[in-house]
Amino acid sequence: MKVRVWPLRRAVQLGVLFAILMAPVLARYEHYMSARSYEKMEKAFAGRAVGVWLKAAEGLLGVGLRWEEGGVVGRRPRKRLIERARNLYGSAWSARVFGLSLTDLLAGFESAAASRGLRAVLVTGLAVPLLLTMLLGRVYCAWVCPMGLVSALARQLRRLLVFLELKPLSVELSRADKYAVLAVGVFAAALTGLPLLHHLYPPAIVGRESHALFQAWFDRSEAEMFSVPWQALGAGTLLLGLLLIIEAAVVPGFWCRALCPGGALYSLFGRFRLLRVTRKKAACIDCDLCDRACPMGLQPMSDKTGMECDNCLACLDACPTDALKVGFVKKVGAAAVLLAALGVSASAHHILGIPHYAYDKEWPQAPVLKLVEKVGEWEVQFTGYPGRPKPGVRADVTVYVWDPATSAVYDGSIRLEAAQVRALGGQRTFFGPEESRRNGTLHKFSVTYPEDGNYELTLHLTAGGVPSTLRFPLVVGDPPSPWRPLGLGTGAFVMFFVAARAVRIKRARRQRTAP
Amino acid sequence: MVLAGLIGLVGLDWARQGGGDKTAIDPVCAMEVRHGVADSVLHEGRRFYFCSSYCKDAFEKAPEAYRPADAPAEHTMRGIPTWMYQAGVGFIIVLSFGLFELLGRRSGRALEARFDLTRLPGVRAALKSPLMPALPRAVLAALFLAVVAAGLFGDQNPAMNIAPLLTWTVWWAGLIFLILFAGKAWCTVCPWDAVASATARFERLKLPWPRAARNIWPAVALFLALTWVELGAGITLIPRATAWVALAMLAMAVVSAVLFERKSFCRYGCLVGRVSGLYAMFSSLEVRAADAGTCAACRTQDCYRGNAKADGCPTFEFPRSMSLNTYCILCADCFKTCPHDNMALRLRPWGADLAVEGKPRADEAWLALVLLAMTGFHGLTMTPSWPRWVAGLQESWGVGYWTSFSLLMTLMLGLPAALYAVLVKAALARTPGASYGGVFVRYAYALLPIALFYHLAHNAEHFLMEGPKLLRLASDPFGWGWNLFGTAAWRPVPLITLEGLWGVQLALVVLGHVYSLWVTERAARRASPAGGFLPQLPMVTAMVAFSVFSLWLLRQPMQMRVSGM
Repeated sequence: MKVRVWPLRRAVQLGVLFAILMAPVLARYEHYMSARSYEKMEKAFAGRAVGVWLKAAEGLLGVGLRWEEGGVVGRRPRKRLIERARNLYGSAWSARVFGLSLTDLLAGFESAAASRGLRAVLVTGLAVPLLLTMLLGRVYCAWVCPMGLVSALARQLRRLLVFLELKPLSVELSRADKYAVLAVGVFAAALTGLPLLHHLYPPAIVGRESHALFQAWFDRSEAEMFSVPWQALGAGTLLLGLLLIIEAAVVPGFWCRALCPGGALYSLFGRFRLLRVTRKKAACIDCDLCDRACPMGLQPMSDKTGMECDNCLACLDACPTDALKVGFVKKVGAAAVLLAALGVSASAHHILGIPHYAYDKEWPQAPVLKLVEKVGEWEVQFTGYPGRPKPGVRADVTVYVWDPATSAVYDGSIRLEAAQVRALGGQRTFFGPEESRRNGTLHKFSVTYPEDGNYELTLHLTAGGVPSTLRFPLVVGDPPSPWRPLGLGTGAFVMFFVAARAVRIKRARRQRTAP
Repeated sequence: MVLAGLIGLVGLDWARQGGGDKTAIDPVCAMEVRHGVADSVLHEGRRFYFCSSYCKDAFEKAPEAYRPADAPAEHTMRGIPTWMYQAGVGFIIVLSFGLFELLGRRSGRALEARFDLTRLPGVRAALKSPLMPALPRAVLAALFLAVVAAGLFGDQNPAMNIAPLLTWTVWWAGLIFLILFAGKAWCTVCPWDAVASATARFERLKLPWPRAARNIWPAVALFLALTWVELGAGITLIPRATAWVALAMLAMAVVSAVLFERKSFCRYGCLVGRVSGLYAMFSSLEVRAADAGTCAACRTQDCYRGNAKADGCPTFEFPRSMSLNTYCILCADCFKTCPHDNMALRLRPWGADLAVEGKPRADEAWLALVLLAMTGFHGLTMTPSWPRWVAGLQESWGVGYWTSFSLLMTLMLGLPAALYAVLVKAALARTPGASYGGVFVRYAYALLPIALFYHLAHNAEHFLMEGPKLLRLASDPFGWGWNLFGTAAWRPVPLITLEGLWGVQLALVVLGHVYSLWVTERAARRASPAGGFLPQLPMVTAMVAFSVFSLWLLRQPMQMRVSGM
């Protein structure tokens, strides 16, 4: 029974992705612990997804830890947990793992180019990845970078498209293109002082989006809005989706093979790697399976792997005669480089300024609802604060009525009535009509809305000598996200589409085989 | 001429509006009126302005009743005043039982006038161009998806989101006006079908539509269902519900396009297509074969079968013998397929299809009845009496809102149908040798003009009074504080004053009635050529009843939708 490498590689990739997702959760966990507010949050988040994330963080951090602190058995070991939580910062782009600083090669080179200088922190952060790349080649691409998972998914999608006879295109892009992208990007960074490549670089994107998503998720949850804040995801996620579609339908192996500037950099440094795939000529039967399996489009069968090989070892899995082997070509040299890497890692420090955790005070904001209606010469300004009130919490309604032509301010009385608009029609008045509180020229009301939903606020005023009623709409609470039904609907449709296509293909094949 | 008159009326009204910007509140109905055009009265040293002589008279009779008081007035829009209502009813009765009988004998010839648009330079080339519906369809599909996105992800406050106003006030109300002039032009650019056809390019099974469902009952059921959720659940004020309805429609269109041959859904299932199909018999635009001789000599019948240039007729029509607009979606495919360039796009007088014998069908007849009932029902739910009726039924029978609403809706559907059924029976007694079903189906087409023109009159209110608010929302469709076109802070005024609107509404209802009488007469003459006026009498009575009900509805005050929207 041949041992396959790809399950191990997939496990490593998934582990890295999980770590990237967990990093912001660990940071938030540590924040709550340090602020001694974890118990409160645990209660507030009970039964919610954010609560589950925090619990998972604690479960991971607490492995093998005695539940004891200050001699009290059963108490949460706060200090140890905080200590452990500090062992993972950052993302696949730039991280500190157990005190060891790791900077992606592209991150380091682009920062250096943009600042036109090499700082000591950059050197120490780059040292380990650089040495490992020289030792092992582009392993970062095959084993660490989350784009590997996207590409694998794209390959599966491509197989589905082929099965469905949807004829995906196979445009060929040159592997040399990525060096041009790298050169242009580094040159642009040096020229403008702006690092630009990281906007296109999948490991940077995944890390950034993960942090943005969890930061918004926890911040909103603290304000009792528990829905998944998909709106926090940005252009980066769209770009990844676009890469997936292009890889599946237009250019197989598009990104890693031909365009990734990071891949170009790793290739350059992996040129003289010591870990190599070698071929026993005697065992090779020239079956071509390894060439076809290579995700980089290289030819292991004729030993044409060059500097592009990322040691993913898919060719080993594909080889029916075990003619391909992997190993260090210079054992002594390899041991020396490994020792050097270990030596550096002992003294590497965390790089300052890496966006592993940021507390954005602008979020969540409380937007204001402002509606304006004209009644005769009077302009009625209706302001709700917050614009999207929470149920059970007192919210303000301010009404200002004036005549824009003469700047005269309305001096009569204003009454407010609030009714809930039921989902199945009908209204239920729960407030007023109540006279306003006067605050100078402003008319104020305080309304507590009973539950989530649509409301209608009716103003009664006597404008221009005529009693008038004005109805203003208001939404209370956080309406559930439409993504779930949208996703379910799309999924159902894709299944329907695949089924319809399968039926037609079967029918066509039957007709072809019939006499 | 009528069209020119209508446009003139609106235009005149608009010009008059320009007079002054100062506005005041009518103390009787609480409407906003302009100083320049409003009647006014000096009372106790203060000038009061009125939307109409109706309110002015009411005020002059008892000014004290309208002084600032404790009782708040509803913010409603006045219906047409009593004198207009009475004049309208009188006019309709005179027309029905006297005047029209004298003029009716000569009708028919005038409807055969045609103007062939394809004779104009460039028109045929444009219709044969592959860009011709494809480009506008793509643009509209993109717009459609943007509006759905606004409904789903935008601010859920209906005053801040473009989806409800654009869908229900501008599109659904404006569609009827579009039909009047351009027939089923909406179907030509329909975004549902654009997305569905694009999907079906990748996969289609081309199954035949089930034989049992080769009628428009599916569309009738969908129309009733939509009216029910639209008015019962108030989805016109919920952006997300609006978007879900649009997506449900999209799902049906896409699934049908993948499963069934040609555009089966457009022909049998689509409620928009079928409602507009019946109304389009009235439209002033048609696609027909130009020369019958060329078609008779044609052996290939590419217009039905399709060829390399385009598909055969997507709605299963034979363009060579098509005599009605009902199922033609103006897709221009037959212009592309016809090897003899024998298709023509023609202007014609309104209602020309109703003069054609055609093949009356039971499902179409019932859709006409449903349309008549539901457009009236639509108007009724916006009167202040409606909530009182629903609440009254809830209390007296001890049922919930939904039951009460559904019962009243069924009643509104059943009453006109029952009245019509009884009067068909009466007409049958005077038409020797006709079957009940035959008479029922034949006369139902005469209800169409009444339904269409009341629909127009009702929608004119939405479209002209509330439609301009779209300008503001276009700049900030999601309610996220954008200002795309710099119009986000605009407070647009209605396109027409209230009195102008009343004139338009009254003219439309009378016009619809005249058309109905004319169709009744044609149908009666077909049923019994020597029958004279007597067999028509029950049907004319029905028409008068329905038209007077339309006028009565227009007389009721209409509740404005919420402020700020």
